[in-house]
Amino acid sequence: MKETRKIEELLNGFIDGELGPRQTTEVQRLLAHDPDVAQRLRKLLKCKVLVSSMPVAQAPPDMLTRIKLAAQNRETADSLSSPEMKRTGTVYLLARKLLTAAAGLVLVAVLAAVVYTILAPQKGPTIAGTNTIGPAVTEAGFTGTLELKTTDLTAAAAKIDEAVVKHSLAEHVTGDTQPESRSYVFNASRKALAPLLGDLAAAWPAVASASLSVKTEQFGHNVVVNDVRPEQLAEIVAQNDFERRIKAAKYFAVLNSINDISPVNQGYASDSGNLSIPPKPELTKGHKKDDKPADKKQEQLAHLTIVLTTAE
Amino acid sequence: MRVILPAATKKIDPTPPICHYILLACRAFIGRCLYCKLISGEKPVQQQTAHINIDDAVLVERSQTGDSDSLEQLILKYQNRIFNVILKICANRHDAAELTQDTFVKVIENIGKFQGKSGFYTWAFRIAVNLTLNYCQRNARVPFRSLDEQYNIDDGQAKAQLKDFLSDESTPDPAAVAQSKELCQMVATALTKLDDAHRTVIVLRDIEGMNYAHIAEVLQVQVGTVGSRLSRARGSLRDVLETMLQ
Repeated sequence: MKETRKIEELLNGFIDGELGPRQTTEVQRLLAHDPDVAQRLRKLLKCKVLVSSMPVAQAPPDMLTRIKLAAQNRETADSLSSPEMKRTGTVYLLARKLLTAAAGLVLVAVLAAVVYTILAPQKGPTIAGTNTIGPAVTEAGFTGTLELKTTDLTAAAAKIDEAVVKHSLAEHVTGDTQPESRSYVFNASRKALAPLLGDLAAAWPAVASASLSVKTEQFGHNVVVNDVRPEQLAEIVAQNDFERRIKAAKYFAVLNSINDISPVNQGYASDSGNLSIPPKPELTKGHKKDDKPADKKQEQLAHLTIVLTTAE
Repeated sequence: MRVILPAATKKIDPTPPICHYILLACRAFIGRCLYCKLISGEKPVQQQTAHINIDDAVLVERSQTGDSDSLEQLILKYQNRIFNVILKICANRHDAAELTQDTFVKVIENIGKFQGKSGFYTWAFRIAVNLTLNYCQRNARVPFRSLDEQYNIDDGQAKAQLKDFLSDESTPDPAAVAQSKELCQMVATALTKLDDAHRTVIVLRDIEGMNYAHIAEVLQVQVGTVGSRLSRARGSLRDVLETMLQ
């Protein structure tokens, strides 16, 4: 095989005139003695003649013009890519990259904010009582609105005024008097407010309906206790922490609504004051024991708004 | 590089320095010596090339000094040969024209850097072949598609001519081949069947008529490689032609 290839190369070199004198003599001897080699040489020669006889193609007549135009265009392109242009282009590219990066960062930040809004744990107490109450609300103590509808506005207002004077809370209350309504806004410590709430019972005979709205840490979300009674109100405010107050309010809300729909239990519940007192909220798992002294707890502020209106 | 066009021809100094005349005289002497060698009967291709190179060297030198006429002469001198070689390799007339144009644009751009280590002819062909081979690599499918299209042209007469030409009894007649358009078409088709390297070496040798040394210089390979590559290429071409006859 190797021999055949070598002979083939020699024959090619021979027909191309590329062999030295010694190799030429060798090929001539081979041709004289081996008819197969002579036949291969004829084939190669024919192949060569076949290719070399192909007509020569002429370049398009306008080739020179085309070359000149192309060279001119290339020159123009080169002049456009001068160092100044390149520098400007680099600065422009850099600015674009920076802008792109900044836009990317802003986009990521916005996306992160959106994701956080969706996935972030909701603040505030849950029924299970996880300790997620916001500090501001906890520090605020109690915030609520007591709406009283009365058949005798003057008498009810007089009883409240009397209680305010009795417990020296005049400095801690602001009010508004209208022909059809009175409003009292108390900003006092829970300790100072507690006796007043007890004395509100004196005004209750004139009250047609009472509802307490206790503010939770969730904006716009209040716990409403319908048909609230003075001792329930006092109990809610007396709870030592915010979570317990909310629990107590929810408890009374449920209890009062059951009393409303159940005439059998209504009398029993109203007769038995003890039933309306909720059990002390139990500490659930995960709660820290409240080590704060009771006096300090009493110092927590209570914001209570009493709205007294005439019942229709 | 600045391209000098006829409209904006750089003025050549009418009185070139004396060293220029000395250089021209030396070249004329060398040319004369080579011519004498030619007469004495050495390899004809080399002799012819050497003679061309003398002229080319002068034209190149003038081009390098900004003479656009000389540059034009070089282009006009080689445009047909380069176009023909490119066309035979890439098998597409339009692309061959584009590649020829690109070749000469590169020549114009780099003529200032040309140091004359090889002849202008070799240098220009190296650019052309490199561009064409790059083109063939990029458009590997194109020649084969066109080949298939051409291959489907069933011309019984051309086949008969080819069969007759390749038979042992006949004697090769180049004129007969050149006169038969169909036969030429079949050969061109057979060439496109070869791989790029084989097709190139056959075109440079059998169409352009370069010797092995020049081919080696253009392709930047050893002379021995040219010989073995050419041998394999011709063998393949023969096989392709015989396949076409079946």
